[in-house]
Formats: sequence, structure tokens, C-alpha cells
Amino acid sequence: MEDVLTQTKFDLLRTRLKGTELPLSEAAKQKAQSLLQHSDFPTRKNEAWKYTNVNGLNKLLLDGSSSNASQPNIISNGAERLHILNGCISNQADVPGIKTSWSSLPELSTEEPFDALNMLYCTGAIELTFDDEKNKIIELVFENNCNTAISPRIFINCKKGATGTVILNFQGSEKNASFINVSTYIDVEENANLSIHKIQKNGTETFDLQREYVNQAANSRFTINTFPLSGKMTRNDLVINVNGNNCETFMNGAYTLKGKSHCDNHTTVDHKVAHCYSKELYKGVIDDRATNVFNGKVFVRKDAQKINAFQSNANILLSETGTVNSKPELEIYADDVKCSHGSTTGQLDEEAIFYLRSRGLTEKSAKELLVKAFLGEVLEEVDNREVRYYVEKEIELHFSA
Amino acid sequence: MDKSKDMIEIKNLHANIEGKEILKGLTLTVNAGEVHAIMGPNGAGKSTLASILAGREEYEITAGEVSFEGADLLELSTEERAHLGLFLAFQYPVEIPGVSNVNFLRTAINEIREAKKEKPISAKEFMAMVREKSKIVELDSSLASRSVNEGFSGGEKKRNEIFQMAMLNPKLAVLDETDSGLDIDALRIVAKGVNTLKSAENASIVITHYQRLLDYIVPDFVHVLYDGRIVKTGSKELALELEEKGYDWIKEETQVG
Repeated sequence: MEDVLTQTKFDLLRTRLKGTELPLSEAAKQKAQSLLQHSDFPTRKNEAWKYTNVNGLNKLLLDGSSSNASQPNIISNGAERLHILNGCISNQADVPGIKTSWSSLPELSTEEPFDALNMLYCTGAIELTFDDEKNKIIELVFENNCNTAISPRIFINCKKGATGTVILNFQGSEKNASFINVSTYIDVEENANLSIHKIQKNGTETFDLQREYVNQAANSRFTINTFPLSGKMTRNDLVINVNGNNCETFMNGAYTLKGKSHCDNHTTVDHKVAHCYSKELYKGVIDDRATNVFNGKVFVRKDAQKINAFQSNANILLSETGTVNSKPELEIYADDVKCSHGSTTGQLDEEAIFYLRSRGLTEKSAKELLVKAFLGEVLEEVDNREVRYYVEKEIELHFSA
Repeated sequence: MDKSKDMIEIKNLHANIEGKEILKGLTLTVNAGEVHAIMGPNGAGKSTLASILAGREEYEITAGEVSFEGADLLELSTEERAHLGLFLAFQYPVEIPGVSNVNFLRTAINEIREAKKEKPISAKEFMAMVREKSKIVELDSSLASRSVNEGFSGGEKKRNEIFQMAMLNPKLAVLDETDSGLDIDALRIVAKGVNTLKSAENASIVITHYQRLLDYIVPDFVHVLYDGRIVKTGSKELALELEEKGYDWIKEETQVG
């Protein structure tokens, strides 16, 4: 009885997960285990999880039962591609720049319990390396059609002077009820230019918790576009350390939420040094009883002079029952910087809807046109045309469904 | 008068907004091929009439009826009215960032065609039409591809209204104070556009506060709207008389009557 009482929610979850088959050093294993033993699921008292409750994870069946098989949608035709079906890397093809077999996984470098969980129950580790200027595109297609837990661990290295693009294409079958837990470590070396496009089109019952840890070296450029399109619960933690001078950092996000889905984007940009530029734009529409959480933090450290940092979050509520919790934060310790942040939440412009209807558009298509225009500002930032096209189509489908 | 030519028949229309009665028994009939001007002092109900015809939902209709080509207009949604061929040129055209003029117009034309069970317009046909119709109002073709009214000058906005009217080719156009805020050159261009589009099959209701516009768009009838009703109807000379004498004599005449 004593045991049951002291069991944490993590303990409960772990009893239903299958330990990783990947090689882990004893030290790495112990570090991760110890972190998990001293943690529990975050609660409202934890500021970073104030509006997001993950208790539902323990209600997921994760019994491997399959929902409908689906044909995975591929986004980029010209990309090197890896297909990961329910966590299993299907094609182990020997592609230069893609590593999937390991002699030992690197040790945990964070204090994040879900990262430790990801390591101990890792279903596949993938390392992507870009080492030339050719802007190779690598697409990872994560297809989920079984109700199961997957824990991909991804390492992306964009070497000195290299250019690369990664498409993280998550897609679940319609009612899929999986637990996706992803840790991604990203290294952008000097003068490198890396773009990441992440599409989270999960099944309507899926929990998707993802973390990206980014390190940027001098004169580098990093772009990450995040598109949480569906899923019961989506949480993205993006942490970018800007460690070198003259860096450029771009974060864009567009989300379309409906039903009872919950989406939470937490971003942190830490400007540690001078002469850098960062720009963040997250926009989304919230319908039905859906909830969106945005928390964007920008740090400008004491020695980080001449920083230009801009951040904006805008939301449109399409229903009376949707919720938005938006918190832009700036912490500035330097004195010669240019920073701005802002957050807006509103409804579609009734006058614009009337204007469009008076020209013959139905109310539905007037709203759709206005929503597309609203999200269009984010999509314009997406330089990869295939990604942009795919997301535009998905937004259209979202409205026709 | 030949009944079949009736385009719109407004009978004894009463309307409130927020409990306040604005229209108090307005009656007006417009036939195909005619241009009717509605003039009147501020607060007479001119813009209310335009809003009600276009289907703004804030107004409560307490009595009366409006028949548009035989259909009960007040029972139709705003878009259904547009599908039947009603067009409102807004007094304050709305800026819609991110929605391109052409994209929106193509959607509008296709939805109107769909409602009529016609085939959608081809891209080629549409672009040819944009080129042709933008000339009517001397609208630079770059404005056609920009966001709807965003950053347009007052004159450009009003020319864009007439451009949209040309593209949609309505049966009845209601121009709500289209002359407000226009300089004389823009006024001339807008009026020329309206005149070019005039035909025996369509009609327009021109709502204005000033006679000036009527130098360029010559009306067949001039109506004076005062205190929610049409109190006087005459020919274009009535507009000149109003310009000269103002509205006070109408008010007095109405009160005496």
C-alpha cells in the first residue's frame, strides 16, 4: 500500500512504456533514471506548465491497437527521406548525412524529466549532418497509426559554413491516440544556415510533447517554422542559445485548433552576446473549445549590446468558448538594444466579413479567406515552397472538415 | 408603368436600431434603366436605407416590405442578395490586409456563378476582365493585386468600389455617399465609371448629401429623404434647388404638412 501511495505519475507512465533497445552507457542510464525518480508530472504550480496539464498521458491506452492505416503524405519530393512508422525506422538505407545506428547514445545534457524519459524509452535515435553549402533537404516522416508511445531522439548538426533544411513531418491517422515524446538537439556552427520545418498533424487523441535545444555559433542563421495543426495536446519547448555574434534567428509558428485540442508553444531565445537579430512570429486561430498557450521569452544578457529582438503573438478566436493564454516576456540586462514584444487576441473583423458577404461570398468562405490572410503573414516567412503549399492545403482542409 | 420593369419596390419600410426608429415608412420604386438620387440632411436615414438593402443585421425591421425582382429581399442573407444582383458601394470601404483584390473578386464571381449554377470563370477570362474593367475607373492594375483597400487613398478606395461593381455587373447598385471625401478629379472618374456601366437592364440608387455628384451622374429622379421618409420627389432640378436653398424649407414644408 505504501508503495502505491508514493508512486509518482512518471512511475505509473513508465510501467506502460518499453525500455529502449538502444545502447546506453551505465552512467547515462543512471543520470536519466535519477532525474526521473526525483520528478513528477508538472502541476499548475510550475510556472512553465501553468496552463498545460499532462495528466491525461496516464489515461492513454497505448495498447498498440491500430487505427486506420493511412498513406503517409510526403511533403518534399526532392528530399532525402526517412520513414518512421510508429516509432520504428523503416528504411535503414545508407544515406550520407543520416545516422541511425549507435554504439552509445550521448548522455543527457538537460534537467528536463521528459527528456530523461525520452532517452530511457527511446524508440529511435537519428543524427542528421549537413556539411556543405548545397542545402540538402532531409525529411523525416513520422507516421503514427497505432496507439503507442514513441520517443524519437534527434540530433541535427549543421557544420561550419553548411546549409541545410530539415522537415519534421509528424502525421497521425485520424483518431490516433499516441504519446509522442521528442527531444531534438540542434547545433548550428559558425556561418552555417539551418532551416527546420516542423509539421504536427497528429491524430485527434494524440499527446505530443517536443523539445528543441538549439545552440547557435557566430555568424549563423537559424530558422524554425512550427505548425501544430491537430492533436489532443501539443506542447513545444523551443530553447535557443545564441552563443556567437552576428547571428540571425527566426521563429515562426501557425496553428489551427478546434474541438477540445490544447496547444502550448513555449519559446526561449537567450541572447548571450552582442550584435544579433531575432524575430519571432506566432499566429493562430482557435475554434470550438480549444485552448492555445503561448509563452515567449527573450533574454538579452548584460554583454549582449546592439541586439534587435522582436516577438509577436496574435490569436483569433472563432468561437465564444475558445481560450488563449499568451505571455510574451522580455528580460533585458543590456542597455543598448532594440526589442519589442506584443500579443493580441481578438475576433475576425465583423465589418470585413460583411464587406466580403456583400460581394457574394458566403459567411463561411468570407471567414476562411480572412483566416488564410491572417495566417498568410506567417506562411510568407516560409521559404520552402513545398512546405508552404502543404501547410496551406492543410489549413484549407481544416476548414472544409 | 410596366410592372415587369420593377426592379425594387420598397413599401412602407420602418426600421429601428438600438430601439431608435430611423426609417418611418419609406416607400420607393426603382425600375430597370433608371438612376434615382436620394438626398437629405444628416440623420435622415440615408445610410440606414443602404445598410438595410445590403442586409446589415444590426437593424430591426418593424414594418414594411422590400421586393427585389419579385423576391422578398428582407428574407435573404447578405450574400444571397449579392447573388441576385444587388451591390452596395460602401461609404467607408473596409481595408482587408492579406486578402488580395483579385483573389477576393475571383472568389466572389465564382460564388455568384455557383449560386446561379454556372461554371466558374477561367483564369484567362478573369484576368482579361480585370484589365478591361480597371480601365473604366483608371485604376492602376497594381492596385488590383494589392490587399483589398489596404493603404489606398480615399479616392482609390472609392474607385475600387466602382471597379468591383464593374466586375460583378450588378442589376441594382446602391452608392452610399460615394462622393464623400473625393476631390473633383476622383469624383469625375467615379461618375464616369458609373455612367459607363449604366444600361437598360440595370439601375442605381445614388445616395448623396451634396448636389455636386449629380452634375456628373444625372439622375432620372431626385428624392428627398427626411426624418425616415421620402418627403419630396422631383427631377434633377430638385437637386439644384436643394443646393441653393438647403434643406430647411423641406423641413418646414414637412412640418406644416
